[in-house]
Amino acid sequence: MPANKRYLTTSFWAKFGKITAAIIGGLVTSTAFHLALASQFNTMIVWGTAIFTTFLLWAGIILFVYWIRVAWKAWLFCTIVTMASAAIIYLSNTVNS
Amino acid sequence: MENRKNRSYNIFFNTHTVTGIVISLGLFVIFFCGAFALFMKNIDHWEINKKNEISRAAIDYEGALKKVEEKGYDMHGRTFSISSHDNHINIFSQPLTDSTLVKSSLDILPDSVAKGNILLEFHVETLEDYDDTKEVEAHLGDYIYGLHYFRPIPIIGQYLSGLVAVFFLFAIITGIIIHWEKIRSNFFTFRLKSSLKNLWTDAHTALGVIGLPFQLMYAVTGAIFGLTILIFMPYMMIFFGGDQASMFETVYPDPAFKQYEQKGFINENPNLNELAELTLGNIPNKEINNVFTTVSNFKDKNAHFVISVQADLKSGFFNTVQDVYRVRDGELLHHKEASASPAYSVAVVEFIHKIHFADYGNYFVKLLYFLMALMTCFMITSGVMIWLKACDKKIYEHKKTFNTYVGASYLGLSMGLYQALALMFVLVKAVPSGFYEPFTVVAWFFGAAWLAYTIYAAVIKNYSKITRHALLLAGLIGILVPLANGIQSGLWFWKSLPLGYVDSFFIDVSWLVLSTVTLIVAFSTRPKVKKQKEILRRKDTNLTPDMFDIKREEIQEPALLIQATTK
Repeated sequence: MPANKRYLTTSFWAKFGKITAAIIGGLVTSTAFHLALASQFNTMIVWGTAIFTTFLLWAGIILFVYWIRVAWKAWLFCTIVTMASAAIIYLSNTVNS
Repeated sequence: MENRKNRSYNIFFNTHTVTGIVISLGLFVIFFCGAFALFMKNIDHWEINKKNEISRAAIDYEGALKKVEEKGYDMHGRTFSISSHDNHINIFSQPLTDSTLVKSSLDILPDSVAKGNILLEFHVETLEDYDDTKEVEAHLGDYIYGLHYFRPIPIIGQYLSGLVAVFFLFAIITGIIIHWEKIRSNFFTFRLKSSLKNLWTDAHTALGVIGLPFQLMYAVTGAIFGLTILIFMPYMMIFFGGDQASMFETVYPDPAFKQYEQKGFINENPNLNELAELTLGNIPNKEINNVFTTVSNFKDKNAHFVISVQADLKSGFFNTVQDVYRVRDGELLHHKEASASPAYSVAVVEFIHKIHFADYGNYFVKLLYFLMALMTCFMITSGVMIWLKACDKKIYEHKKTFNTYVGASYLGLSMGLYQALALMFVLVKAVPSGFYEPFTVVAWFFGAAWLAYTIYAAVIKNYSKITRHALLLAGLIGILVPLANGIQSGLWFWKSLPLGYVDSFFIDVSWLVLSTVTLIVAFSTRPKVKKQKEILRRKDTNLTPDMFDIKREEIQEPALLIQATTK
């Protein structure tokens, strides 16, 4: 009783894009998001929370990636969040030092 | 709108199936070995016939340190830990760094033993060198624990287990999403007398929902333990320039890990035993379980003595008393009661540790965990069985050989693990200790038994026989466990408890109960399978109620699908 194929991605590249976005993109995005938080707020508190929320957010992003229709949009989402986080970390570092 | 709903349902259903099948075998091994690994210390005690006693002898710090210096180590400016477990003291210190040497203006050759790292073990009472060749070492508990996170797979094993945990988390979320609408109505549904397919479905969904908190907890904490590197490396690299010590100071403010500045040496050595006594004197002796101490900058003006005492379990969830003394004048700088909570991130880490290892409880809590873990194993297997049943249709006829083969090997691998583990328990007692590396032999036989059962399963290809035979084997071998222990050690389970060998008794009786239940299950499933076959024959195999009650038109008719692809 497999799921209805009408709704599933079929092409190899679409599948590949989704799997990589889910695993690698999800991990990088989740970590970057928490790093950005840690750069803004109390590092100890954020790190202590990130210990478990990193994985919860990662699983959430996997869900999101599969829910989005096309793979490149999922990648776009991951890239935007990661870049924004990187910018926040970079800015806070230059302000502090 | 309806269409969109169907789309999400089908997508999550598909990802749930695919991730579930990909991780199922690994997850089964993790939960099954993990269930046994909860008792790893008890298993170790059982293996080497050790009495359950906690040595409450106070550590003689001064005497131990004197012995270390006699061995030629220079202790100036060192930061080291002294802890005791069972009946020995462990002393551990990193090598002295060049900066320490420069500051201390000591005349030590750079490569000499004096500045090297220290890793010593003494007997707690006699302070004699602990000789591990004389003592019998336990292996079994640790081996099962290692298997639980794929340690036999070199390098990537642990990360792999972490990844499996992440996907398990994902599978839990998708599973709940697709089951959401029926979560209440189906909660009490367990159709034992209906078709096998319904039984697997009900087992999978009902046990999945009942076990949800337990499984969710293990998915998250398992991911944390397997992929710890992911929550350390990025923070260390970005915020602390790769400096581990300064990262610890900020994000993990446990006094035991704090680093203090060196301020020059002093000659007089205040007595560490007296400082330890200040803390230990306040705790009733029988409530002390473990004492862990660290000394930073020994013999320095700014030397600190941190003592952490694991107190009795009733004192609080974070049951450690922690005191920090400045050695110079013996002043108490920091005090934490057993009932007080440590700093936030320390509390998080300790909490995760405690709930993952069921450390906050004893036998009863661990037995509950054990049963929940076995239930999760059943949930995992029933999920795969649903898939196999679903594939057992006419339209998948062309794939039938392949599917049966995969299904049989899967069942062989997962069910065969049980009898292989039981065999290992027997062999640990049966292989004579004079043998060349007895545990290597045991581990080899374990692997061989597991592989042999998988091959057997792939040959007979009958799912119910594979399961039943594995249970029979495991039950029969399991009965032998207390027998082998009794013959080898003379600690028969009716003798061991009065003599104080609690774990010897516990493991023996647990195996007795476990294998009896296993045998009962193995014998009682046979008539059920026969009955099932009769029902199926009478109903002419065409079972209409679909397990997830998706509207029929939503599932593309498989026949049409095949026509479409052939056209």
